[in-house]
Amino acid sequence: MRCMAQLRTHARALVSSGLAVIALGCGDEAQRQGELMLSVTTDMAVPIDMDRVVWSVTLNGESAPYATRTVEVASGTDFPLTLAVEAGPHTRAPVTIRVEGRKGSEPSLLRASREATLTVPNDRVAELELPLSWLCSEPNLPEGCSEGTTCQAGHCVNAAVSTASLPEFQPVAARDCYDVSACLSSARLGPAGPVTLASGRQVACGISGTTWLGTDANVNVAVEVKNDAIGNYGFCGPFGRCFIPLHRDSEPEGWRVLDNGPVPAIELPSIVCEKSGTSITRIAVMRTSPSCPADRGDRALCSPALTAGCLPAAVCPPTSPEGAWAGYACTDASPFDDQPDLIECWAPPVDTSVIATTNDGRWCCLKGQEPANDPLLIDDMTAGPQIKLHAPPGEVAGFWFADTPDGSGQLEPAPEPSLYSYRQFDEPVTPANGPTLHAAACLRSDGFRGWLAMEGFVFRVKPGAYELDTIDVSDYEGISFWAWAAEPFPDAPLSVKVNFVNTQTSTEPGSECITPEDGVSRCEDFYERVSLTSEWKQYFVRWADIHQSRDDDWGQFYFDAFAPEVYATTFTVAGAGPDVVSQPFDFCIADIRFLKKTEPSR
Amino acid sequence: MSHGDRRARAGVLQRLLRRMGVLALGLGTSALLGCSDSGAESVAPATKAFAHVEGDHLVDGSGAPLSLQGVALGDVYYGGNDPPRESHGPEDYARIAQMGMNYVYLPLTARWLEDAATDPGVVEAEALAWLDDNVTWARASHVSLLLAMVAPPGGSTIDCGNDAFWASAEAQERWLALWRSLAAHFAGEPTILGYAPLDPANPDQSLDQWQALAELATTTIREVDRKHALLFSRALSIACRFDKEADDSFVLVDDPNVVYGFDGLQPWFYVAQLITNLGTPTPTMLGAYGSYPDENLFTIDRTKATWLHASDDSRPSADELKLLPAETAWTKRTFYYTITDRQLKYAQPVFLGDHSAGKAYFDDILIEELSETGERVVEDLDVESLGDWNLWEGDAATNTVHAGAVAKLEKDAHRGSASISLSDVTTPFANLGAADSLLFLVNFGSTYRVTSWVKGENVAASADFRVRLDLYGYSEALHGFDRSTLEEFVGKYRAWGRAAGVPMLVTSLGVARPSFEDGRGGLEWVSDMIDITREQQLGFTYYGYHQQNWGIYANAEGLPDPETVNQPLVDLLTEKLH
Repeated sequence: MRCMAQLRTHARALVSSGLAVIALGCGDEAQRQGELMLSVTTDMAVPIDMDRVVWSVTLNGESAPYATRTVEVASGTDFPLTLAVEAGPHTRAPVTIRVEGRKGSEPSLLRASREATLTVPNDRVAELELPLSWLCSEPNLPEGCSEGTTCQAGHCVNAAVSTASLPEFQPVAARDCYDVSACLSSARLGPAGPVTLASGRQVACGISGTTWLGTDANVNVAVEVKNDAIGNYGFCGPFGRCFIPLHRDSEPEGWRVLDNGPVPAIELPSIVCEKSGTSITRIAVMRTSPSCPADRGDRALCSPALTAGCLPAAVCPPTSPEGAWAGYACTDASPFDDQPDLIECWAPPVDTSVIATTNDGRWCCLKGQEPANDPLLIDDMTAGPQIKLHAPPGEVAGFWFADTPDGSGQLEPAPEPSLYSYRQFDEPVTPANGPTLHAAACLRSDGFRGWLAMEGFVFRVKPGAYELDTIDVSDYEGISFWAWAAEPFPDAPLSVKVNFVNTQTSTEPGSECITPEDGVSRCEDFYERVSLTSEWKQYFVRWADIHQSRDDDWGQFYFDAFAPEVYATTFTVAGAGPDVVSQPFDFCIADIRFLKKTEPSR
Repeated sequence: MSHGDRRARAGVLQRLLRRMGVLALGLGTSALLGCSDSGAESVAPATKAFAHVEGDHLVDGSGAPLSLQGVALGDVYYGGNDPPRESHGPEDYARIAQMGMNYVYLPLTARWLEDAATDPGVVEAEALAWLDDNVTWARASHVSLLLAMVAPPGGSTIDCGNDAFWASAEAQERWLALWRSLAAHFAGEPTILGYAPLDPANPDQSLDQWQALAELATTTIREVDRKHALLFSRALSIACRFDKEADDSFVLVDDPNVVYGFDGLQPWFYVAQLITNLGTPTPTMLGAYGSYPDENLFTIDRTKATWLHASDDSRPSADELKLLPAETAWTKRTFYYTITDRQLKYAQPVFLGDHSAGKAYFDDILIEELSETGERVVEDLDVESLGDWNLWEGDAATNTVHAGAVAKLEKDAHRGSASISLSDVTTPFANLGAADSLLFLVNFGSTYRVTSWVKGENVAASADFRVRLDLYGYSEALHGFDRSTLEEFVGKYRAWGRAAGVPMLVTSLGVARPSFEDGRGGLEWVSDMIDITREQQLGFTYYGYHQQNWGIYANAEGLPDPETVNQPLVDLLTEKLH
């Protein structure tokens, strides 16, 4: 006999296609080996929500796992995954078993996890179910669970499990999968809430009545995901929404029929009602039928038919002018896939008080507005943050963006891909001899890390290709704009560089500042510096005055003259570098126009 | 320098050394006359009759623990070609013994040890005779003598920029030859405590230079003398950077009889306040620092400080603060900088020139803190002394000490009677940084309003002359200037010695005369430092005995004059050392 303290991972077709076996002791085939059979299930859509399961076993008193492995899953029918932990010297003390459902390769997204700390039986094969439940996913439990606890039905509970309470493992034959999407086609949608039973007992979360449940509560149940707030999860498509099934089960994750006399009632996990309005909108109830048999959690979930795409969703902030914007919740897709004429899409905030910094599949897209009649007007900050110049055929208007290249920290509007929006003024601004300003392109920060913070706009976009195009500005003398900056101290203007990204200095393919041999870019835009004050003023930046750095030679390409083929204009504020938080600032740009040449063009 | 480079260089030096060893023995015969233990053949086996190292401590000839408490004789800045006969006489050894001291640190300079023109690498008879006299005097007073080379051939007594020695193989050969002769001469002399082949070391490139030379010196001396202890101190500066951590500044040599040392003149701007600093290429008078202890005066340990940012992104920005060519009359400049990062702990005012032709004048700096609780003046600097401002050039990564920029005290003032000018700035940056006494703590959320007065002469349009703030982080909480400041300073180097399991010596511990005056607390500083060295099981060397700025005796000419004695210090030392 060879003493084994090693891991065996292979598939063993007992109850499913995926089986991992770990041996934590000396194998002795002659004796009956005690074993813990783990059964990992999920209520999420595979492989859309989850395409791999990571499991680990940690021995008592250790901080690092004894063993860890990743199992890729391609279909809902890959579940349940089973994992056998054999008894041995290492399992005399309790072991901690953790399973995680993840999406994507490194860095993968943790969808849900489950943990149990228990002893491995010496003389029998006990079964431990470890459901990876959507109710335990980040939108429902953003703070996660502390050490020693694990999520069960959306709440953190003690991770310790009594081995004696576990049933004997009984292999069962595989059955047809539960087609959630198909069943949902006959669903009724409605709210869940507190239920008062005939006995007078109050149930915190449930549904009652024959309208919903018939006379026998012989139904299947799912929760509707509030995808306009948290993005798509689960089985999407029916009713243009997404759903997560709830199994009829005595376990806390499931729903169960209550004793309520002739009026049927069911109890739902309390988290369903607690999350109503934040991550869950409604409950879907479907009568069972031969094609939609009762779901008791004993069947794997079929993979959804829709594996990628976008659903219309009310994700755009209410301030976004109707008609100019469209919102989507997407799964492994982009709104541009179906609608290439969109100007630009941004990740909107979950709510207006929180700045979105990550893309969870929700996009707020600018559909575009009619260009201005004034050929000199670049942007008057009406409707969405798009450029108001006419775009040539085959192209769409450019858009605004904010960024802290290679930086971090607070910026408002948040850096790409977060939603860029104009600042709307409660009271119009009326500078002397200037236009009435209702909105402006403003950038504000309490402090960021990085060399610069910027906002700016591109002039033209080639739809579908996501390529920028240049505009020939040789017919103009420069640009003008109105601007303002918060001046927290007297005579303390804010220095802002107005940069023009052109064919010489962009990092677009073919740019003159990219070394052809090695592709290294040493690009510095032509710019002019302006000092913005707390008084709204009009500023003029002329091609004749813009330049590259005069006294900061870092090896950039220098050009004798400014080439008037321009991709973009940016307004930048210097930072303090990547390691130190910058000075705070707040400035606004409005009513940007080309300056008409006073002399005939070339 | 890579290990391979070091080996290659050491190999060349070893070959040269062997050649020079022959040369020294051949030409230095007269110097070796009377030496009972000279030459390789006369090398005695290690004996315990001499003070020596046992484990991590020093013991005397009888094996009893020996705690060194001594004084540095002479002036480390002495530049004469003859032995410093006016430094001290036999009676001074008696005075030293009366104070309770048991050893003397005798500074040697190659300038008077050898005649570089006629007999390079050979100890002159006159020099050797004077050293022999010192041995006789020391023996009579029952004190030991440590011979310490403070200025090697080709080198100088300044604390960095000593490049001629470090770059010259020939100078190093002479240095080794001198030590071979000295060690051979004194090999059998128990009054000699040991040798410090180079103290302090200021390698111009890397610690590897010092490591290689320390190893060579050990090999050289051990060929003729296995009995005496050696002293190797941490590099005081490396490429003129004085802020190296212990691990980056100590060398460790493979010899069991070595004591390791470090300089204890800290904080420099306190101990050296109001004296002319001779340890720089352009000696300048240091400004006033303050008193010890003072809870309102914080001190900086450079090894714990990190430069993080300059206020170039101030409001208005750096571009708008530049001195303009037309501004030839005193012009007011104001900027604001808000502390938005909790890493920023303190600030240093700096006069800056960046690739700037012309000359700029700086004066009358007012720094105010604006916070929720109101406004307060942080510093109101009437620039009247160059000593409060340290010139360095280059950027933080590649700074050099001096590349041609000129900082000068000017009579043209906006306030008071003087201002400071900066000119001839040819490097990317010439910085006149405020001394430690002018640093100030910054508070998160506060804004600092910096108002200065500047004017120019022939300032180019592209020039960038202005005042800025440099902002620093600090690895621990900053506190007042007190005993804990000294404990931290000593403790970090002592920790290195404990980890290495070696005995250690503070090679210079002292306060210049001005810090003993006007309530500046010099005596308290000395008392606390001696207590700390004892607690930390360290030997110490008071600096110094006879020197105009630093001495217990301070007369500039002649032997130590009792009229100039710092009697309170003598009393303190006598009380503490008995």
